[in-house]
Formats: sequence, C-alpha cells, structure tokens
Amino acid sequence: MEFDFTEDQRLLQETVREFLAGECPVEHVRSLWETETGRSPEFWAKLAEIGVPGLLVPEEHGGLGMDEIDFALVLVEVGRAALAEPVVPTAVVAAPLLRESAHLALAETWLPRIAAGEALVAVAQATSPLVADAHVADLLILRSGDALHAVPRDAARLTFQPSNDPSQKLFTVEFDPQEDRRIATGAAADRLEAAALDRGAFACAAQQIGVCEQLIEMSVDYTTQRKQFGVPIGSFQAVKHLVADLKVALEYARSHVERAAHSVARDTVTRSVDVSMAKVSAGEAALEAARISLQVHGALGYTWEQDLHVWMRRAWTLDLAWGSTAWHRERLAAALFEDALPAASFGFSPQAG
Amino acid sequence: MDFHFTPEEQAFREEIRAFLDAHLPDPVPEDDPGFLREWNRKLREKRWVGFSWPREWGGGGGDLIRQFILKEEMAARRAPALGLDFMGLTWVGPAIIAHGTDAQKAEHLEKILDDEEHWCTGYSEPDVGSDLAALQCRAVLEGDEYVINGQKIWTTSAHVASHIFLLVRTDPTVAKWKGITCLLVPMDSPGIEVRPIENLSGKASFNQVFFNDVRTPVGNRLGAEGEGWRVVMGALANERSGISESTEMQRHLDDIRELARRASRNGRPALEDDGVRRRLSDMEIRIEAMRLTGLRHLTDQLRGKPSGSETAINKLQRGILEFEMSELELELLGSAAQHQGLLQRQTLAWHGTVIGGGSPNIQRNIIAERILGMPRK
Repeated sequence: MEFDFTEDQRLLQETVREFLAGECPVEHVRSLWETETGRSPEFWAKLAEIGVPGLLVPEEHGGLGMDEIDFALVLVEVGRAALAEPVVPTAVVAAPLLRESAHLALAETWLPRIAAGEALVAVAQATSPLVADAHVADLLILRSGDALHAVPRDAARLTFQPSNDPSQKLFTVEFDPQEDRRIATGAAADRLEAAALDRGAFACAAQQIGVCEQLIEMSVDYTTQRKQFGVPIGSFQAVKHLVADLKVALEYARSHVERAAHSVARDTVTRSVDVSMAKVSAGEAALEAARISLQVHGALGYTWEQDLHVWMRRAWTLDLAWGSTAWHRERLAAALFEDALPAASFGFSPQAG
Repeated sequence: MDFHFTPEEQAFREEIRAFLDAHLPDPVPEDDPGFLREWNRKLREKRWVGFSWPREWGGGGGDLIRQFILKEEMAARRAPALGLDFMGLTWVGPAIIAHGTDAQKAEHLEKILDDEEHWCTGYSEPDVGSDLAALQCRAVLEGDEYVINGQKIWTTSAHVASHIFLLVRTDPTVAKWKGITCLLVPMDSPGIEVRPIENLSGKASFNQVFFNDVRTPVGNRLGAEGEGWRVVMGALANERSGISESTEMQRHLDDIRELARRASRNGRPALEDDGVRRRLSDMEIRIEAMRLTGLRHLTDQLRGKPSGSETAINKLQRGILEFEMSELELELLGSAAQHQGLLQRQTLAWHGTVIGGGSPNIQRNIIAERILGMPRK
C-alpha cells in the first residue's frame, strides 16, 4: 500500500512547472485572448518537445507510453498555469481513445502525429452540445446515432459560440456521417465514450487542483501584504478562516483526484464513482476558491487588470467541462443509492485495487 | 501508487475477520461492562490493544500498515474500540513511550492496556483555553517532591480517573512555553478535589480539578523540567489520522442511507428526494476524502515523515461531519425522533466532540498559520 507519487513522477511535475513558468506566464495566456484562434502553434511545438502531447501514446507510436497517474501532476501544473491549449482532448482523451479503438489504421496514422505535436484532436463530450477547440483540431471525434466517427476538420461545419472565458473556444459542429470514418458502433462506441468521459472529467479535476492552489497562493500573498488598521488583513480570523476552509477543500479534493488517477489508469471497478467524486470535490473546491479569493482581494480583484480572474474563469470553465458538478453528483448518487455501485474501496475488496 | 496489500498483510486481515466471526456477538452489547472487560482480555491475548506499542512493554510491536488494517476491520464490524482507556491509549501511553523512564514504562503501560489505570489529561484552566502555553497551575520542587497548587477545568473523565497527565508551570520567569513541565499524578493523592460539571446532555463528563498542596515524587515527572510543552505537542500530534474514524462514519452513513430508503417524504422514499440525495452524496464524498487523506498521511508516516499539522484537517472535518450526519438522521426520523432518546443524546454528544481538543476555529487557525503561513498578527 502506497498512496503517493514516485520520485520520477514528482520530477516530471517539476520539469513541467518550470517549463510553464518560462513559456506560459500569465502574460502569455492573456496575450492569446487578443488573437483570432486563441491558440499558439509555436507553444504547442515546445510542449511536444517535452513530451506532453504524447504522454499516453505508446512508445511504438513515438509517445512516452505513460499512464494517467503519470499525467495527474502534469495536469495540476496545467491548471496552475491557466493553460487552455487542448491538452485534455488531444493528449488525455483522444490518444487513449484511438489506442483503444479497434480501428488500427486510424491509430497508426494519428498517434505518431499527436506525439510529435503535429496534430490536435477535438472530442465531443457526451454531456455537452458544444465542442471545444474544434477550430484548431486536425481531427474531430464526434458522435452520430450509435456510432463514433473520426472526422477531418474540413469535413465538418463549425459555428463559433461565444464563452464567458476568453481562453475557451467553443463550437457547434455538424457533419455528414460516413462509414469509412466510423471508429466504433453500439456497445464498443459506448465503452469508448464512457472511458473518454471519465478521462476528461479526471483531467479537469486535476487541473482544478492547480487552479485552486494558485488562487489560495494569491490570496495568502495578498492578505499577507495588504495592511489595514496597521496589520496585514490576513491576520484577521474572518479572513484567515475563509482561506483555511479552502485549504481543507483543496486537500480533500486532492485525495480524490489522486485516487481517480489510479482508478482510471488501472480501469478499476470503481472508476466512474472515483472520477465523479474527484470532479465534484475538485469542482467545488475551485469554485469556492474563486469566490473567496475574489472576496479577500476586494475591489482590486474585480478589475480586468488584476490577474485573479484568469484563474477564476478557469474554475468556472473546468466546472462545466466533461460533466458539470451537478451532473457528476447525480451520477454518483445513482451509483450509491440505486445500488449500481460495485463493491467499493480497496479496504474491503482488495482485488478492486 | 499502489493500493494492494501484500499476501502477508492480506492474511493478517483474514485472521482478524476469522477472530471477529468467532468472538464478536451480533448485535454488539457495547454498553455491557462485563462484555467489554472480556472483549479487552481477548484482544490483549492477541496483543491487539496497543498494537503499535513495543512488545517489551506489553504492546503488539506491530507496523503501521497492520495497525491500519486492524483498525479498519474492527470498525467495519462495529467492534468496540481497541482498548478501553481512551486517554491512556491515545495520549498518555505514546507520550510515556516517547519520553518516559523505564520505571515509568513498567509502572503504567501494561496497566493502561489492561484497563487497570484510567487517565485524564489536565490541560485547560479557567483562564487558559486555546492559549494553552499561558497555563498557571504551579508546581514547586521541594526536596524530591513537587508541590502542586492551582486549578484545571474541562477535565474529561477526571471523576473516574486513577491518574492525571498534568501540565504545570515550574518556572514563571522564562518564556511561557519554556516553563512548563509534565507530571503523572495519581488522582488519590491527598489535596486533589474533583468537582464534576454537568454537561448539556445532563451527564457528568468533564470536571473542575483543584490542587491544594498536592505532593508527588519527582520520579513522576515525564521528560525533563521545562520540557512539558515539547512532550504535550508530541502527544497532540499522536492524534488519530482519521482512517479508522472514516470507517466508523461510513457504517453510520450506511445506516442513514437505509433509514432514508425507509423514511418517506411527500409520499415517496426520502432517498428519492433531491435534497436528501444531495446531502447524502456530499457526506459520502467527504468521508471517502477523509479515508483517502488518512491513507496519504499513512504513506508519509511509512516513509518516516512526521505527521504534522495536516491532521487538523481531518479533525476539523470529522467534527463537522458527525454533527451533520446526526442532524440528517434526526430529520429523517421526523417527529419519531422525539422518542429516540439515545440518538438525541448522541447528537448532543457531538456538540461536545466538535469542541473537545480544539474547536473548529482553533483548527482553522492552525491550518491558516502553520500550514499556509498566514500572519499571526
């Protein structure tokens, strides 16, 4: 029994953190708000140099052959940097989906390109009518009827849908299903879609941990520096206790997210329950962090100039992606209360681990 | 990251289950003192009381993983606590193991395990609560005896205790936390007077304790003079990680879920009510988080990293959660709850548990100041 990451996994996290501190400071995030696509191919190429897009791509296809446990701390850093490039659809969801599909030619074509940073993939979410980053994707994975299709972007019709988060690019997508673009049908398509949903939700939850860490750090820094009545406002218990409650929510969410990483990577029987718990607890922690950090920053936090809202928007956006908190809470309740839950927890059924 | 247990650990789990199958009655007569004594005797034969204490002093010499498995299995079956003297097992014994002389270990440890000594802890005073280091109860060394004068309050179980783990001021001239010493004092020492305080559930659980020229041999000092603060901070850090508590709470929540299945709301099972589902699923999430966070701390401990202020997180959540669970339980029972005397007493007791050992806002101070580094003033 060991509930922690390895030295190598921590080292990978450090590498990504340093990389993002240099290549994706908040000025970079905000400068992309002013561009037409909101995305940077140059940045993605650098991200590919340190292997992030191909983390889950098997080594024989040019990737690193790692798993979701390895990816978890990388995603925390993605959240901390408020990085909005399509890491989740391309690297966390599409790569394993293509790997697990029975469509070998598709996997052989696209996996090496994903790993090399030469292809972006957008994936329709079972819980949303909108597809994120369809405008920059080379390939779109879309549902029609009982089938999943892999559709080149020029074969799809995109309509831009404005978002409250300038980092987020959303589209409605129409396409004409063709048999030769079909990845899977029926139960096989359902399985791939369910795995995609759990991977996407886990990845959002992991990013929300990073968002939450960043918001707490900004709140601690600000309330330590800002003085009123001759003392730092962070010394007032009314302020201190708000932030302490955030820390509790963060640490609890972190436990769920780390557990979910393991459950997704090993495809355990409690996978969906663990993912929903992670999505709910990380989502609530991040939303609460957004609310509280704005409160302790006062009017300053409500300005466009202050960077606080960059992370607040990430919290709101991630909460609604890959199944909202409300959606996952209901899925969880159905599993727990309608006895759809497989015997839970490794303590009582060690074979489940 | 690996949630598997070794075959040896799994065999230990099976051994516990077989023991419980053979010996634990159903339902558990948890209020029967005769049963509890007999149960403790059987656990002692297995060396499962004080499982992690050194074998030479009567403990089990067990490792942390097996201790976790033992607690989890016991809680899963609602077995009584591992050992009867809560204060002695949780605070005093570990402090004596860490700081005591061989004579003190020989005198107290086996008796704590056998429930022959009953401990209370003398921390709070009338003017000293969360600012514990400001305590005033005085002890002066005269020859080879300390003479103690002063008062303690909110001393849980002092009215039934055989010994008190007592914090006293031995040097009023130095910084407040440097002049504190820890003494292990028999409660039948002349000059000790105990006055029970009735709590709001109508029972006597805590007390005032008066010390009037109480004399105790210097050999009853735990650790060096002036080291009391260090001793007690170590004891506080021994606070439970939350793992076995989460198993107990999960069993409690299972009961509430079954109650919600039977209880009715607007002509439908309460379990189909959105509000009830939301609260129950929220509790499921937090109890699982408590268990997982406990496992993270366990992993830290296995790697030799000391358990730190992070236990404040589980303590804070536990008190709040237990209370919310009891509230939901009462609500589901509706007006029938008026007849559930036991349940109402438990709910009242949780009001006390939330405060005991540091109220929620004290835990929030600890989290904000020691973990997040926010300014004290």
